Amino acid sequence: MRLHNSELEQGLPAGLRNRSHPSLRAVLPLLCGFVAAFALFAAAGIARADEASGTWTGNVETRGNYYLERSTRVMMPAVRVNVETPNGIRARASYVLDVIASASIAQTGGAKDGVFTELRHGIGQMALGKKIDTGNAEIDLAVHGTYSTEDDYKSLTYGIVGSAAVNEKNTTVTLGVTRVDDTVESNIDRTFRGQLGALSFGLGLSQLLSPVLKFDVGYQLQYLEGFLGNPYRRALVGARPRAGSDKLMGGLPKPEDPPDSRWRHNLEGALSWYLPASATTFQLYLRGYTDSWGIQALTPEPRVYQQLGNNLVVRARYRFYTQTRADFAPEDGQTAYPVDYMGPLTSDPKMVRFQSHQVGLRLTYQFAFLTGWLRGLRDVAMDANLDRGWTTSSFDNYWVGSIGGRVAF
Amino acid sequence: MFHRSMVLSALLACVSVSAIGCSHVKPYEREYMTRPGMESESEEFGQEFEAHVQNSREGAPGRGSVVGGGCGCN
Repeated sequence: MRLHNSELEQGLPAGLRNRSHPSLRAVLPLLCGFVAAFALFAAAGIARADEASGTWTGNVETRGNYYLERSTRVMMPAVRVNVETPNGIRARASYVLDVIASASIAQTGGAKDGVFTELRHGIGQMALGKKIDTGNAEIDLAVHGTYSTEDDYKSLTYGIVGSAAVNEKNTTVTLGVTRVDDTVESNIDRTFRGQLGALSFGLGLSQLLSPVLKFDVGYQLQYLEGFLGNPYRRALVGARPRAGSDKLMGGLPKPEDPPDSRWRHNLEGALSWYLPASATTFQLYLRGYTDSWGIQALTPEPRVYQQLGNNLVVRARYRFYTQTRADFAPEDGQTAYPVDYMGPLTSDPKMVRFQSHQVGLRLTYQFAFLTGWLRGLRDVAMDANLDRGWTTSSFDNYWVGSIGGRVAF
Repeated sequence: MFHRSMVLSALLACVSVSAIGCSHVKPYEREYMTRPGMESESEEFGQEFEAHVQNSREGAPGRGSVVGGGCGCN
């Protein structure tokens, strides 16, 4: 379980803040492994394509993801394999390694400051599906499952998804049910053990409106029950107004204690419009969210995709996010609860009112021009993505970057 | 602002539903549906990490994601 340092630093002396970042030497072998894995899979993809009889198709994807804020770095190399057989059976498997390097007192019990590196393994993100084509319609059924583990958190996610393309495949309806079973532990208190269960139901609709216009809409209902807090976080309770100010000061730290259930509603839609004359796609994404904790959020995100020449695609986007405060979070502008407060407790920065802005650029290059003995690499696509985010929450401004490659076979 | 946007989203959903049966794009007219931005599969893998980041920073779950997995996103 990761706890962002920015939320911990609020109560720290200045001398403990802005610590230098941990060395990247610890994760360099992972980067090397990522590059080697991509080379290996690329070679495998080429070999398969050469010997293929035109019956099996698929691809191999590898990604190196990177997240950076003032005191936390996350590196997440990942690999995924997709295969589809001639009779429409699809199989997918992926592996994700989450490397979190953070300067934090969280995992040392608050007694001392410390730099820690934590690993999370996302194992066997498996999916198995089957397409049934009846001519004018197509039905697709799939099951999926993921197991992830770290030293203080275990998670099992599994579910089933079905879709039907009807109306001469102009309309695709998707239904899905997903179950999450998590076990939460604490590196500070070895006797602590929390359970979190979630059930999610999703409904999606994709509609072709014209040869250049498509609309997608989706609704997700989710119910969570169990331990919904963080065993490392502490909320300040019993604070009193500072003289001459409304700001509450002082208070005693108590373990976070949010409600033990939560209903979440998520409604999202996207309109995509392609302009053949300039090879440009405009996309507008909009999402509305509300839950039983009183949080309401809104996320508009316009995107532009531009084809440049035969091999290069540039994607530019802007994302805005705004949310209201959870009912039981400290009042706006406060970081502690007053003396007479008796309700649920949280010190989670995600529970307060805030806004964020994010801009990003992504380049995708297809090596379709290759000939001769390099012809096998024509199906290789590489992409690089860089985003910058600004936020009014106590989380810091951030960078998100990734480099990825896909080999089709 | 939020309620207005939810109403707008619901209206867009209704427009979409009402469009079912009104449009018939023939298979040979779907060339542009495979262009960047018109299909989502090629970006799906990269968006998983972004959703992971958003789950740990925002109160609402990220695009198409399910809470869980130890990302501090409870």
